[in-house]
Amino acid sequence: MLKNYLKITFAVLLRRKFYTIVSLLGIVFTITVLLIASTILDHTVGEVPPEQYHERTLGIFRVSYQELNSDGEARTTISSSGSFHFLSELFEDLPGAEMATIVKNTGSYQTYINGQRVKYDVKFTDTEFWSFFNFTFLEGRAFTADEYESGASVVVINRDLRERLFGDEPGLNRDVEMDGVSYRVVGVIENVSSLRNIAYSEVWAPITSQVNFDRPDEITGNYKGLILAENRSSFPLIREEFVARIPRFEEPRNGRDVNITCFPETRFQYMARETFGNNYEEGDYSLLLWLMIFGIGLLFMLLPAINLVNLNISRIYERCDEIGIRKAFGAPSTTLVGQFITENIVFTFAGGLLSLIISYLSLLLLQSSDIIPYAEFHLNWRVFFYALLASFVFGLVSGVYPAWRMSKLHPVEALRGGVV
Amino acid sequence: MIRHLLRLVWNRKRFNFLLMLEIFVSFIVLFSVGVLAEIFVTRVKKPLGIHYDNVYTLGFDFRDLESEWNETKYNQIMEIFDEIERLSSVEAVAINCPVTFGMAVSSRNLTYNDNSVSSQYSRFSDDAREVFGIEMIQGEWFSEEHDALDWTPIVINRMLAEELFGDEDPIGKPVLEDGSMRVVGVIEDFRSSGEYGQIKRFYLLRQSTTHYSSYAIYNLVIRTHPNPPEDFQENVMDIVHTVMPDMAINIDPLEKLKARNRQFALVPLTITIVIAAFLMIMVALGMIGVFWQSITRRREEIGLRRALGSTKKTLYQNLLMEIFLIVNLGSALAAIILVQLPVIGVLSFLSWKTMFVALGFSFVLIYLLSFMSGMYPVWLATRIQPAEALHYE
Repeated sequence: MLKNYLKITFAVLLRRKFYTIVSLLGIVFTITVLLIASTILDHTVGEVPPEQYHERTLGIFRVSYQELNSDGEARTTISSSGSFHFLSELFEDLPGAEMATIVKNTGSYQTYINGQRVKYDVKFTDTEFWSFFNFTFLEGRAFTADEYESGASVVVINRDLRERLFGDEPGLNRDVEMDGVSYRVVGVIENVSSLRNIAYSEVWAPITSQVNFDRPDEITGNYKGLILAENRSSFPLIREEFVARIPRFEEPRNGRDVNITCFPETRFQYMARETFGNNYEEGDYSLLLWLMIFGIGLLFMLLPAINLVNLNISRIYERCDEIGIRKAFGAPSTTLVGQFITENIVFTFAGGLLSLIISYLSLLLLQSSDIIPYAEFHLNWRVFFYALLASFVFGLVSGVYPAWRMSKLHPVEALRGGVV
Repeated sequence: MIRHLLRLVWNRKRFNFLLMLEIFVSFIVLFSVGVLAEIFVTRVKKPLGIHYDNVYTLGFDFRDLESEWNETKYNQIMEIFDEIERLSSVEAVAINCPVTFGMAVSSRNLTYNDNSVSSQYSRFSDDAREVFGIEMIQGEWFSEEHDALDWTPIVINRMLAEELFGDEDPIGKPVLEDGSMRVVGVIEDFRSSGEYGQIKRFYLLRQSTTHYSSYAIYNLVIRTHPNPPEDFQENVMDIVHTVMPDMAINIDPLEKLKARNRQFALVPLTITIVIAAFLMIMVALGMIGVFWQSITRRREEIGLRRALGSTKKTLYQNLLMEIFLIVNLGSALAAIILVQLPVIGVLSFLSWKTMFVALGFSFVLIYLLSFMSGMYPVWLATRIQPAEALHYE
């Protein structure tokens, strides 16, 4: 049966090439845009190397600090990252957590080589950072716990910077200058995409190598924290314990009450809260963000879908003779509907495959354009699944109504040329 | 005539309804593009309020401003300031933190009587007027005499003046409850985010160059002669590194910062326009297919009309009119719904002008689109020979 459906499908598609091409263009364009958008989204919030524990990771991305006057009105408000001291105290022996890491926000440094300015991004991290992420080492190693404790001036750099600083020579034990201090290179790793903003940098150095990094009186600062939970079910436990530890920092300052809002959340929850929520209240808006993303996707598919429905209906009337004859010879409506929907789904899947190729090429182009430094967009199985799903939904939506209209055609009318 | 056409359209209502729906959605897509385009075009046309050509920015990359800023740093930076001013290619040097067109913004709440608004601001020294060519529309610019005051003078932009003071004359009025900041002048709607940026409330806060203050100086702006020597940037770099050997600095033409702002504004607009253009091409091709098919199916009717004496020309006009009727119905429906939006509070940021420009834009494009996709199929219809068409029946 299906074989017959497919045979007819190909015969029909080859018969009227104009319709086939126009419909195919529409499908390919729509699915390509959806694919590129979802790849970039996936690359930003999904698990992409060097991340390895994405599913079990919670982060402290934002610390909001308020000083309230006696009426409860906020007088001073600061909303940024946390301070090193604040985060390291909160992270101490957190129940339900396997490990935790603290990283400084990336800062930009520069040096002069033969009078040429070389700029690079630097990130200060702790030692857990190296077990949290799975970096590909090209040379050497990460800095050790001893080096970290002693505040040694050592760094790990990425492949690109090694090329810019030392040309083709190995970078191990060479010097990188940062603010007049020489740092010794102990390792070289593969480039990390700048979209992964916790792991990304070009130079990684120990937090302890900075002067004055631990300031006990500060709450907000330049540091973000990541917590690796033992498993997803310990998320609530970690959150509870973490939030319970905050009041010890809420001592009145400048004669005002202090209110600190910060809690562990996944990256997607953080994005959702940044979009819909506010910095001074806890809340999970991830469902809302999912709905918004799907809503925009559906809205975008609406016009192409209507267009395809219109084209499909036109195609049915062109095939009135065929439908009339088959009906007259006793074909039930279901067969005809099945035939038409199969045709449409085969067609959109073909479009989906074509879009996969086009998306792959466009992403290569985007990657080589250097708009997003070190980004490597791969079409992974998740994105492939999205494409499949999108084509299926698209095919079904644009096929069902025309098929229903077709099944309603009266054989006599159909043979005469059809009635609107 | 219209009634007659309406009946024809009504007779094929299910078919035409889908077409109308397509036009309806296309109209909304075009409208969104129109709104975006109108907003950007209006912004670009407005005056920027400053002149930035031949202006360079010199940024000092302090690791941690608050802990590093002290009197030594102040003296070093003022030494650099004077050295740069002495360069022959330099016309004026001023302090401007955070730098105009830069990424960083500061903002603060201002209060006058019971009226309180939040406004962005930046610090400027007295020479900034010369560097940026700022024109005053009211009051006066900062001067050395202001050093003697026990309050800080500010210059505000037109939008802030209107929103904080209404019809009152802002000159001399305090903007903080304790009176420590007062307005001395008003300038045009100055936009620190570049020509594609939104006009925002903004004020310029005076920074004195004669004595140390706890406000860090981390950015200078330099106006050069129209053609600065090629080694100008290197000269500045040498000056800085003689005084502060380890300081990381950025020297860039202001144009470069502005170009980055422009890119930030234009990338989303470009993506929207490209996607909308593709959608419209798709719709146009789809409509050609649909019209074509519908003409083929109406061969008998058209043949009959020709046989009964309808000329090619009137037939052509009638069929096109039919298409326009459907297009009109779809787009009018969309327009009626869209006009309601600002009234019920959604999209309330849209001004009526933006609304009508965007509606006009969508109407013109949708007519063009439907005319172009209807032309060829309708022309094919007029070529139908009555004898052949009726023979088919």
